[in-house]
Amino acid sequence: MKTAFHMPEEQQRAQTLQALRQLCRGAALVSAEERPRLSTGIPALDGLLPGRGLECGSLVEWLVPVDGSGAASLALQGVRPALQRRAVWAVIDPAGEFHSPAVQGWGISLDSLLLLRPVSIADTAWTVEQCLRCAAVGVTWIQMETLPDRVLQRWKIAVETGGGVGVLFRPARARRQASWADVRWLVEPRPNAASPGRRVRVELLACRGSCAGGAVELDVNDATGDVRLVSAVADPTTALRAAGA
Amino acid sequence: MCVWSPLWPIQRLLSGQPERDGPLILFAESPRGLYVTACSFEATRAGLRVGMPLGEARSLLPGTVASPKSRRGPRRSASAPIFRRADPAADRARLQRLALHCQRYSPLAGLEEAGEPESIWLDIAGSEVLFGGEERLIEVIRADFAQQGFQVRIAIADTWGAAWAVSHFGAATVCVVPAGRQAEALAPLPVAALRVPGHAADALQTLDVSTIGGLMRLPRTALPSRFGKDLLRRLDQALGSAPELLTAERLLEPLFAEWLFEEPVADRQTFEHVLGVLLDQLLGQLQDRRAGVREVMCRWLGTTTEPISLRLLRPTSDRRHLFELLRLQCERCLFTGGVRGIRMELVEMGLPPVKQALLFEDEGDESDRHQQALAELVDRLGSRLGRQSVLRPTLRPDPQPEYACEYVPWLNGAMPSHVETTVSRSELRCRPLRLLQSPQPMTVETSTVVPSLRRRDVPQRASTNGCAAPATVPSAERRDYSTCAAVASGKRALSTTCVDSSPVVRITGPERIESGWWRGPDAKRDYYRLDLANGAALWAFIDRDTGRWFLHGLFV
Repeated sequence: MKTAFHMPEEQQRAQTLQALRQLCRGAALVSAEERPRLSTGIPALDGLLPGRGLECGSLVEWLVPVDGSGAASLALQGVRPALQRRAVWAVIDPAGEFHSPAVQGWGISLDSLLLLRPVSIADTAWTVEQCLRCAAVGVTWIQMETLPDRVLQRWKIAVETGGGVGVLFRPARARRQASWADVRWLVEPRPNAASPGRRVRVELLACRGSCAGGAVELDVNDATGDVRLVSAVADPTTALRAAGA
Repeated sequence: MCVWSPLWPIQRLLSGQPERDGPLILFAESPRGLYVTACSFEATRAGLRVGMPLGEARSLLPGTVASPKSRRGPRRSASAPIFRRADPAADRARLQRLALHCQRYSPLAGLEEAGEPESIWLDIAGSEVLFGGEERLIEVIRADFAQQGFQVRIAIADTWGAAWAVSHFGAATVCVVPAGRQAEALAPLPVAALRVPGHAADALQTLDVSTIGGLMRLPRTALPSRFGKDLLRRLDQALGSAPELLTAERLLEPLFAEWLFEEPVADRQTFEHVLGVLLDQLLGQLQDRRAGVREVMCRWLGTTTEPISLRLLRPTSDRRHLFELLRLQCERCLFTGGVRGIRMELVEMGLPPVKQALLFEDEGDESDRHQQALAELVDRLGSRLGRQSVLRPTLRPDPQPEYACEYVPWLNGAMPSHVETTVSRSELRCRPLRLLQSPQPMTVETSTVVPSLRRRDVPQRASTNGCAAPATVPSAERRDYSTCAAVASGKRALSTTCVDSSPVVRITGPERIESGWWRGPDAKRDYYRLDLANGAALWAFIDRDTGRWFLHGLFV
């Protein structure tokens, strides 16, 4: 039977061209340290990360103690810088609850949004992997209560292949579970009577290539869109000594 | 140019019988029985109307012995009434043949976009000079149609919509709208000339807006929510502000590849292999035309298994990509029996993006690669999840949060047009990122009234419809309400992490939304943001009719 296409030859030619490109540019010599880094959109969080930003091809996990604690508002700050590099933001929304108009309020165009509504857990895991693996997707946004076994490992490999950023929200009880995420943040709400927004403490639980344990307190004001570092209160003993008391 | 053949199904049947002068009535079947779909002028004169039950129509034409199930006419005399079952497929096919015939006047001739078309559209830009001008071309076409036994009304305008409107509702049988003057030509015509649904035209009629000119004077942002989005689209198309495509008729041989098994087969691996072979054959046929696949369908012969339908974001001739998508769909097929053969048909083709390859790419090449990767991703996702699960949001000017956004499948291709929103960016930031699909009932209990509340703390526009809670709810002031012992609890069915009972430490609002009377019961809501002691922030509202609290979103 006649076949008009000879794909093996075409593929071979494409591979040869790709190898030539890499040799000419020395792309094969680029180490992990030289990979571009992305800002989280919040300087205080950037300061906790090695290289002052997220490495491209990272999986970032946000652990939240309770629904509606503001972790997504913080993670949203990092979406805009990531979309400057790649223009597609994939949101996996099995429950159909993602409210897109709110996104535009944070200065992100809806044209960049790829909203996906898989039905089953297996479809959801597959969809996430496809988005992470795609070279056109800048950010893959995932909110899942329960994850199938070994899916995080697959996602980690996929995001390294794709070179984007995966943002995963999980309940705080998953803190003690093993994770393949490159960066793990824990968000804890704090009482706040002094400012109009909400106050949260963000702790860096784990970070590949760095010591974890740093934490900052942030004020998030939804009305103005500001995220500010809460200035630490001075130690009263030091103040008294300075006053000569 | 729009060439309209009024009562096309009747004209089609009568065109071959010029000696007939009796009434001709077409009917169809609906769940409520047989009804009249079209009737000739003679039948209309006898009192018959479209939509009338067939029994009533027959009683108005005495002497008729027609039977609805009879395929032959009851009588053969020239003046006897004839009842026939409507045949929309034959009507369309005949009109398509006429459109192909009209290619002698214009290379682009096609049918109007309608379920049962009656008009032929011709793009005569540049070709009218060959016939001595537009008026002369109209005369030639009218004479040509008359010779075939068809009476037509013809209009020429800058847009398809305007030409359609003038040909159907204009005073003259032929009309040429001067260039750029379609607004003036449309203004005196009725709203129905915009090809809008009947209920929208009726609704406008009740508001005393009977002409397109009156419609153009109404504020544009209010139109889609009250009369449907088609109204504004049709108006823009008629005025030339929005594009409208003509699908030209083409004489094309069907492109397909077929494989017949010697005996029924149920082996999935065999199917995948055969799909690969058929795909190669189909791509080989397309390669001669330098075209790519936009939509393809695979039928399983000899079984009732659902066919595979594959539509792509943009045309491609990439065999690897197409085969992967077909394999993905084949994996999900439920075969109900042995398959006797596979037929792969090309539904739509297109020009795949082609670019000269370079050894050293620049930024433009990277952008092209991203576009290519995105198209492949959307194709893959749409193939497995379904077209309705891969969506692109677009804002709508509707204040009610659940209707503020519309989701369009990416695979529909066209980018949705941007719409002005009724909410500012800072207000959008105060909307939750997670909106429940339907508001969930919740309780907000107040055991103690805060004694220090001043007048300004009370919402100025809060409802007092038997609702005790909002009367003690402060506005955006920051206070410690731990003594207030207000408790918010909402049980959410969709998530395992429900919002537990917790004291409310701050209430911000209200934002009053009162809208949607045209959808049914009016939504009268006062929205508040509730910050709970456990750190959660909720978006809830009080229904001003019932005074009950509903959880509508979470500031995740």
